[in-house]
Amino acid sequence: MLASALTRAGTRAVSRPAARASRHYATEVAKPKKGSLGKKIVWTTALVGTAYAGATYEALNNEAFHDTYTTYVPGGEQLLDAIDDAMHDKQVKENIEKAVAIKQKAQEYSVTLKNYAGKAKDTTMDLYELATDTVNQLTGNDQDDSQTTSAGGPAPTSRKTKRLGGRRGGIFANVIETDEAAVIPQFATIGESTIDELAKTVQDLVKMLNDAGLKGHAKRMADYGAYEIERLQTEYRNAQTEQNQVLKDTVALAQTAEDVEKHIQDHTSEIDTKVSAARQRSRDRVIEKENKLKSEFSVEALEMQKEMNAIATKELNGQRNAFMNELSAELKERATEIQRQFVREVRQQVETERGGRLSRVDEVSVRQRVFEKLSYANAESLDDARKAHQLTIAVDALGRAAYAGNQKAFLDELQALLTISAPGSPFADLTERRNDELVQVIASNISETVARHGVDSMAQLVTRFVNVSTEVRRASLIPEEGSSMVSHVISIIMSKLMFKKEGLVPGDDLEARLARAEYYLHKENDLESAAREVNQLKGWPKHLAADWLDAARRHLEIKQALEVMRTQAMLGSMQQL
Amino acid sequence: MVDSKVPSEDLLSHKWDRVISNFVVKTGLGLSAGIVASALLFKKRSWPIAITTGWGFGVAYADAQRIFHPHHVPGVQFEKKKPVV
Repeated sequence: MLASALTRAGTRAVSRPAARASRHYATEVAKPKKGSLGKKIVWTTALVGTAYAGATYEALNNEAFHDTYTTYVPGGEQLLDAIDDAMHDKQVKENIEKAVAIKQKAQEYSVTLKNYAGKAKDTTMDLYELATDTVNQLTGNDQDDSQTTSAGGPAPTSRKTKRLGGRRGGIFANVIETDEAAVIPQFATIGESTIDELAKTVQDLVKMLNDAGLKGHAKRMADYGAYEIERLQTEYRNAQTEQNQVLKDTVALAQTAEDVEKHIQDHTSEIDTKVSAARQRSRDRVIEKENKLKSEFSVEALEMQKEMNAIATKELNGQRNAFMNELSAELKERATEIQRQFVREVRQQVETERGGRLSRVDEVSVRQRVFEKLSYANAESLDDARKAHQLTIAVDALGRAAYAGNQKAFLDELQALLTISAPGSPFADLTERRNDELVQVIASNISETVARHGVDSMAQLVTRFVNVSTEVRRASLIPEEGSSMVSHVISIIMSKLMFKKEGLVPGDDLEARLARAEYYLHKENDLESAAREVNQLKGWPKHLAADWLDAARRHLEIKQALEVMRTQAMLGSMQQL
Repeated sequence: MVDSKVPSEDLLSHKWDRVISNFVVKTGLGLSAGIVASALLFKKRSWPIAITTGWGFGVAYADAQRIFHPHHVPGVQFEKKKPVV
């Protein structure tokens, strides 16, 4: 009991670690399944959709890919058909065109926007530069002129113009008072009335001032006035000289103009004369040319006339020659005709003569022809006779060779027979040809193998038959179906117990047949009947007798052929008699 | 085993020749093999000799069957042969 308990414990101890190993630990990482599956599905669907769309697009555009697409992608063909219908749908086409137009417009707008933006940028840049420049100027920085000219700022340098009026306030400035009476300036009178008056006025003024006691002023006035009036006068004089100069110039110009006019007139008259001269000359030349052409034309006309004459004469000559030729040809024809007539008449004469004197020669030739025919016929008949004899001899030879026994080959004789009986002479009449053909056919039907190996003679066949019959008797009891070796043994044993029949025994069994065949062979020498009897055996006996039967058949064949041929040859030879 | 150039009446006798020689040879072989085996392996008992001789005889018999009736072998096909002189 203790031992069994111990063993039980032992088995339990063995089984426990196995149980422990299959426990799951909670600290193991549990793989999250749900989320990843969803993500995988989404991504797969997206990729497949993209691939499908891409493939459809490619199939639309690429011819080679189209075929692959329709073959392999499910639903591809229907999709492509749907797309084609949509493409050809009018509405869709209009929409597509509109979209394209909108796209183009948007492009244009974007271009213009770009341009405007560019321009705006440029102007802002300019403004900025301007602002910086003004700031710089205002703040008084040193800038180059080249930098500011672009700005074009509102700071042109103002120059002080010398104005007469500017001094007006200062004429009587800082007057030095003197007591001396100012000298009254004297002025030369100039043609200009205003200046003279002014001078006078100044003089008057000075005088007045002198009288008034403002000497200093008067002096100042005098100086100033003198100065001014002198200036004026010089100016006036300059102007006058200028004017004179100008007048002179104009006069000179007028003079030159006149000169030029005259010159021009002279020139024009010159040209006129020249032109008229040239015209005259050209007219003369034209007239000259006219005359020359006229003379040339007349010359050409003469020449053409001469040519025409020449051609006319040639044509006439030609026609005359043609007529002459015709006439001569006709003459020749006539001549030949006359000659032919002459020949015909001569021949007629000759023939009549022949009819008379030459007829006898004809007779002779006719007789000669008859002789010829006869001699040919004679030769032919001789030939035929010879051939017939040859045939007979050949047939005899064949017979002798075939029945010499011991399977001698009679091939040579057969060949000889074939060559003799070959249809050669075309002069043979119908019966002869038929005879020859018959012999030929029979001879050629004897197969070559037979000729080579010869046939058995009658005696040989008879002896062989004895052997065959013993064997056949031994195998007579073998059943046709389901036979085995044992049946062979039984047949052998049993056949030894059977009786042998002899003579012309009626009956259908094997023994009777054999007896009859033997009788035919030994007593009556009738191979044909014997062969017929043997042919009617069945099964194993037939099988055993097959070779003998074959030999007998061949023998008979040759015999028959030979007989026919011999009769034929004899007939042929008899016909020649 | 082609019976070529054998005159047909001697067919059976040729077959018998082969069969008988086969028998003799095979039975003899069986007998000798049995004697040797019994002498060496089977402690001079008589039954191995009988077995082997019987076996040889049986093989010879099977061969004889085949010789006499070649068409009994499954899968045998006969061809038409041109007549040989």
